[in-house]
This record gives sequence, C-alpha cells and structure tokens, in this order.
Amino acid sequence: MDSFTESGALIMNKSKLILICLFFLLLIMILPFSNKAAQNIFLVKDFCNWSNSFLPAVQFYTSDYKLNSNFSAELIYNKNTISPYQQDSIFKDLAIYKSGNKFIGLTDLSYPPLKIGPKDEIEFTKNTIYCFLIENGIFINPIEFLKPVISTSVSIVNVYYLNEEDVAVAFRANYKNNIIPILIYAYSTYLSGRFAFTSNVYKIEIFLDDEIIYERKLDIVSKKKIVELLLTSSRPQFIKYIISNVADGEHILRVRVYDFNNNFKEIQKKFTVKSY
Amino acid sequence: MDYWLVSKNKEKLGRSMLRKFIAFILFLVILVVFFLNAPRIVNSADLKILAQIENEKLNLFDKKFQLNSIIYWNRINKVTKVSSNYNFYDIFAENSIFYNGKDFLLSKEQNQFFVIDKKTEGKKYLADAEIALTSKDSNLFALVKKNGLEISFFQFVPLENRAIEIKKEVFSCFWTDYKITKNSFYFSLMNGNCYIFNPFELISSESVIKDSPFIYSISANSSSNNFIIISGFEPQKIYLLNKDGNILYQSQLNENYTSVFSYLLDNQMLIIKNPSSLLLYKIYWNKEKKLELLNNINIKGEILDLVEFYSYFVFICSDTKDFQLAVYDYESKRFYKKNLREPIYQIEMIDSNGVFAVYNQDKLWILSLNQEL
Repeated sequence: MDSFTESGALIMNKSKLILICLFFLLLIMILPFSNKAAQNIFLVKDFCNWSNSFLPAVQFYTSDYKLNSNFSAELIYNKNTISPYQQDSIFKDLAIYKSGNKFIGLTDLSYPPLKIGPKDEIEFTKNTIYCFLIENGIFINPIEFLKPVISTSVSIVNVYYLNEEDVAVAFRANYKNNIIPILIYAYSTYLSGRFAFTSNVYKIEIFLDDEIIYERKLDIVSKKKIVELLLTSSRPQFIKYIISNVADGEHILRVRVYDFNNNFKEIQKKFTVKSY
Repeated sequence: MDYWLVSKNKEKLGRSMLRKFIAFILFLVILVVFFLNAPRIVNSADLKILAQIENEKLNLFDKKFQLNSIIYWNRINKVTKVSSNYNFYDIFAENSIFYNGKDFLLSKEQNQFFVIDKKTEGKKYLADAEIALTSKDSNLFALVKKNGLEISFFQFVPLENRAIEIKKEVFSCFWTDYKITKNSFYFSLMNGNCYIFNPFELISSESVIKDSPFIYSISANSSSNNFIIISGFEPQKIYLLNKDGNILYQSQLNENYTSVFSYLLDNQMLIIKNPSSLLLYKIYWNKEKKLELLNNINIKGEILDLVEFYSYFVFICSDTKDFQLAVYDYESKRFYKKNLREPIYQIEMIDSNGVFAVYNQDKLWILSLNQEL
C-alpha cells in the first residue's frame, strides 16, 4: 500500500513535470514569432573575418597629397619605419599632434612640421592616409573633426543573392573603399542584416516597406563603446529582424548609407516571405 | 749685494717658471686623462668577421671557426636555416612574411597565421590576423587584428608542437611601444595607460600613470617584474614602476624628444635612445631606488636590434642612411662602434662567448667579440 501511494505520487509528479515542460516548450516556440519581438532587431551571430573592420583610425583621401589643416597643433610623437623587419606596427609612419586636450594621429606625413597653424598646408607621401583622435584618454570618431577639411562620397555596388536555394531572399553587396557591405539574410520567418562600416559611412538606415527598422550613427567612442562597435559595426555581422508579423508576399527592403556630408546612396531589394 | 739680489730674483723667477711648467704639464695630463675617459664611442677595427654568407654562398674568413648551432636567418619572405655544417635549407611559403620567436616561427600567408616549430618544422594554422608581435627570446607572442585594438595572446608549447591562445583583449587605445619578455607582455598605450599581462600568474592589469597623458616607450626584462616607461611631453620623464603600476621612482629628462625608446637589459642596465644620443643608466631597485647615469654618447638613429652577452651588449643603430654596429664593454665601461657599408637590421646570438650573426635579407655575417677591442 505504502509503495502504491508512493508510486502514485510519483506518477502525479511526473505528469505535472511533463505538462510544465510542454508549456515551456510551447512558450519557447511561440516567443520568436510574437509581435513584440517583431519590432526589434537583434544581434544574432558574429561572422567576423576582420578583413574589413571598422578602424578607430579613419582612412581618407587627400587631393595632391596635401591637406589644409583647420586646427593648430604641436608635434609630440613621430615614428618612421627604418627597417623592413619592422612589421609589428599598424601604422608604418605615424605623427601625433597635441591640440588642446586632443591627440591627433596622422600617417604618412612627408616632413612632419613641429607646429601646425590653422590653414597650414600639411604634405603627405600618399593620398590615402589615416587619422585618429584621442580626447581625454578616449577615442573620438575623427569624422566630425575632419569634416571641414575633406570631402568624400559613399556608394553601394554589386548586389547579388547569396545562397538562394536555402533561403527565401538573400543578398549582399561587395565593397571596396568608400563602399558599405551589406548582407541581408532572410529565412521564411527571419530577416537578418549584415553590414560593416567603412570609414566614410557615417550613418546607416534600413527600411522595410518605407518603415524605418534600423538606424545607426557613429559618434563618440569610449572604451565600452569600442567593444560595442567592434561587436556591432566593425565586425560584419548578422542583425536579425523577426518578420513573422510581415505578411506573406513581396516586400521592399531599403538600405540607405550616408557619409558625413549627408550624401547618401540607397539600395532597394524586393524579397518574398514564404510560410512553410 | 746687487748681484746677490739679482741672483735671488732669478732664482725666484726660475722657481715660478718651474711651477708654471709643472702646472702646465699637470693640466696637459688632466686633459689627456679627461679625453681618454670622456664618454664617446670609439671605432672598433678589431671586431672580427669570421664568415660571410650571401644567399647560399659561404665565405669563411677564419677557417678555425666552426658553426656549432643552427641559425634561423629571417629573410622576411622566407627563413633560411643555416645548420652546423653550413648546409642551407629554406623554410618558405608563397606570399608570406615570417616572424621569429624563441622556439618557433610564425608565417603570415595572406591574412592567415601559421606557427612553425623550429625543431620539428611542423606547421599549423593558428588564426587570421594583421600583424604578429614576437620576441626572439620568448615563447610568448601576440596576434593583432586589423583594427589594431583586438589582441590575442599566445604561448608556444615546444614539446607539444603547438601554440595555445591564452587570452583575448580589446585595448582602449593604440599602443606606442610593447615588450614581450619570457613571462609577460607589456604595452604602453597612447592614452597614458600601461597594459601588463603575465600568463603564468594569470595576472593582467591596466595601470593609469597619473599626469602622463602620453607614453612613448615601455621596457621590461625577464629578470624582474618591474618595468620602465618614458612618458609626458615638456617635461618628459622616466618612471620606474612595479608590476601593479605603482611609481617607485621618477626622473625628468633634460630634453624632450618626439621619438624616444627605452631598453631594460637583464643586468638592470637601462638604455634611453633618442634620435641624436644614447644614455646608459644603472638601475638600483633596492631600498634606495635610483638611476645612475653611466654613459652618454652621441650616436644617431634608432636601435634596430640588440643582443646581450655576459660582458657586452651589442646593438645595431641606424638613421636610415648610416648603419652602425655598436658594442658596450662592461669591463672597460666603453662604447665601440663599427660603421657598416651595407644595411643590417637583425642580430642573432650564436655562442654566448661572444659570437653572433648580423643580417639583412640577402647577406649574413658571423662576427666575434672575443678579439681585443
């Protein structure tokens, strides 16, 4: 009798346990398709290969190897590569200037002047140079700082489908300098986006059927934010947009990228959501 | 009477002349002694070249000299292994750059890094990265991603023929200088912080040096946990710090330089190299911590490579135009130099008794310090 009661209690507990498990399983299955989640963009997975990562040092182009400065500064650090064995530096030739409480790093200066005055002409050995900015010990995005002295443009090219057989819609843009790479990855119930900033991309907006679903602007970079930037913009990544609430059928996804002069390029792509 | 006076005056005059002459001689002696002992670099004609290798052609100048160890001659796009019988063997990969470690080599092929065991020559893929930071005295090394901030720290395990990733770090700033010792990594960051990581004690720390917004150089050795930085601009200072980043001692440099490097030797000597001169200090870490200036010589350029012997240290110095091989002898407390007709960039110790190799990509020379300098 005792044993019967005990085993009965055990049966009851087991069934309760199974019910609870089923409930949670159902919840887990439902949650990803809920409308609440559909409004958000989630960082899903990092597919970084680091080949085109966002640099705290901005790469930009000078015309005629020259640049008119808009700041006054004093040279405090200068390092040139002497030996071909000196392969252990990100920048081969680097000069750092102190301007107030800012440190301005510039690469490939012909003859780094000891002092720079506003509107002084700075000469470079290359027309592709790097600039970075450290203010009060933290990296600042130098785009705003360089805005008055450089001009640039932004573009997206070579959109093509990726892995069309497995997914409803997928496309990606190849990129070179000045061009943003975009990979939008869509499953039947998920729409994911992958992008990385190049130096001249200042802002990115993603629209789904004219409704803005993602916006990102580069701004001040603190140490914490560097980690975030490395995770969210420097590494090519997947951004998951749950589209379970998007009706079956054709939709238009627009990706718009801006440079810091508000020039923008837009790319539109039709995609189809299919329910299986 | 007059005669007596005259002769006495003459005697006085003679004595004073003699005094003056003796004083002059003494002055000359002091001058000669001063010039002999003045801190300067002396040409060393007796630094003996034992052998020269150009590509695979050997020129043995001293037939008595036998090569008893293996030289891993890093020629950037390949490594030529020169064995004890002067056999040559190339470790090579297409479109590659090689980095030299203590018991290993790293090859960068496109953006892929491979680790090669020097003994077995077994090669394994390690990771994708932009640059490698190695030290020829250490089995610790780091790989840096293209953004310059994400760094992976590795340890090469010789008996297991592999490298293990110990840690990953995202730096808050670029670095100006780094040092890898047998047991630790040291980085000086541009925001005035120092990053130190000792994988054997699993200790890492980022120290903020107060009132030092910019650090030019960091140096450390394998025989001490303390380290040294050169920081600040107008004034530029030397700081002696312990492993927790606490300042033990600081000293202001007389001049400020936009390019200045430091090297802490294993016998606690400190070299400060600015573009025009070299300052050599002895460091006292004990109760009364201090720096004692031993020598200050005019030698232009940057130290490209340095190797330490028991009685000497040898280094290559260049300002891109001239290349000099310089020796400091601890016994005579003197610097000696040899001007080189061809550029050399690297030094490799062959024998702890004073035999070493210097090389560029095309030529390698074996030299001996066992000569009368």
